[in-house]
Amino acid sequence: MLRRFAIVAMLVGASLCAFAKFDSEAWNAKCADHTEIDRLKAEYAKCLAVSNSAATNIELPIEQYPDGKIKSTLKAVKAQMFLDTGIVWGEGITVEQYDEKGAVTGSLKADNCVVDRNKVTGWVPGHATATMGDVTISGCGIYFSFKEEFVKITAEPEITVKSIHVDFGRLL
Amino acid sequence: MSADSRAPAGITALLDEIEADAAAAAAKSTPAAKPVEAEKQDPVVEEAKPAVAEKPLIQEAKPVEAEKPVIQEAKAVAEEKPVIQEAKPAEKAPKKKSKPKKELTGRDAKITSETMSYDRKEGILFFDRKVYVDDEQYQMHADRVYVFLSGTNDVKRLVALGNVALTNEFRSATCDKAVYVKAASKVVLYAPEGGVATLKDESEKGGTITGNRITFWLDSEQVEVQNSDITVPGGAFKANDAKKLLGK
Repeated sequence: MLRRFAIVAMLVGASLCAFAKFDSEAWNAKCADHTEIDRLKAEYAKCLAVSNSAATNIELPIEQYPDGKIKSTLKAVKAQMFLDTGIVWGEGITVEQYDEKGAVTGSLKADNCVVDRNKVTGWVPGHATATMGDVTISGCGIYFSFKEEFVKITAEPEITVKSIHVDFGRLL
Repeated sequence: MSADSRAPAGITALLDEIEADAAAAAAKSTPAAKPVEAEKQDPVVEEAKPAVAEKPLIQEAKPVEAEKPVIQEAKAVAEEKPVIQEAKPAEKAPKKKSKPKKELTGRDAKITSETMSYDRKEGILFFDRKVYVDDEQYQMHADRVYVFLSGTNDVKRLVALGNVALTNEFRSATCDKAVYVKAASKVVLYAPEGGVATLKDESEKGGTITGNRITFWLDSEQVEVQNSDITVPGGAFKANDAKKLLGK
């Protein structure tokens, strides 16, 4: 679950899709639709109310290379899974990815998050920062959908890149 | 169902327009294709097309590339106004003042806004409200910015909408929409309704170009301005130029 979250979030800055003709009307509607965000916000509040039995200081490998070396790890100060609803809740989350030599290649730090395993969507109410290569993305109130490969940062988004490759500088 | 009340009004049509524009631009990325491309978009340019194809209106002195039109003003062509053409002799052409080159440090560019959406499937980044791009070579403010990506971090197209202001230490540009199309290597600045798009040289002897639409081809450094008003600093033209301008 959190592995997926980590992968998608870190790929925010590393777009790999070719542009194709698309339905701009539908796309704009998707951007403006906060239905799923509101639902996840409500789920987060519910989780928070019953999070007393959450496991603490979890640290586990979530992905490995074929030779057994660790590819990514997850750390969470608190985490709890609700089997009846498929909701997973966590606080103090850190996900790190490593290359085959053990060097960190990407990381994600989120204050908290709630993920719906059935709908494969999630919500970070607090602050999160994802770094991969020369791209760093941060913000607060982050919605993500694994299925749609869609991320929305609803507050304080900031993207830092080495270069955004737009030649406006030459116009000026 | 709740929805963002500030959904980008009017962007739908623009995105579709950009799609069509990109298809045309990919096939016609050379300056020679400009009039044809413009013809599809704006009847004002269509009117001027034959004259544009025959002769440039204002031709800045270029010792090496004297035949290249630097500034073309479509409206004046349509009205068959006299042509300003800088004397060609390469030896006597005034030297362009070279701008002091700023050494680039390679610092990171930063983009901030109130909200941001990223669609990996479609390769679109959408920054909404109070967008600020702080690049080493320029800064940009806009109400909304769409970035269309191709491959890893490669910007294919960028559309900035609403109160767009581009600045660096040498020049500034203001407009209602700015569209960058990488395939055509061009930037188009669109004027707001009832206003003008402006490209201004911020140096002491700087001039100003305003128009309904300013198209800048980055590779050839050619500019096309619709319904333009061009202000050049004093001394930019010689006496001979005035004679040519006045037909004397």
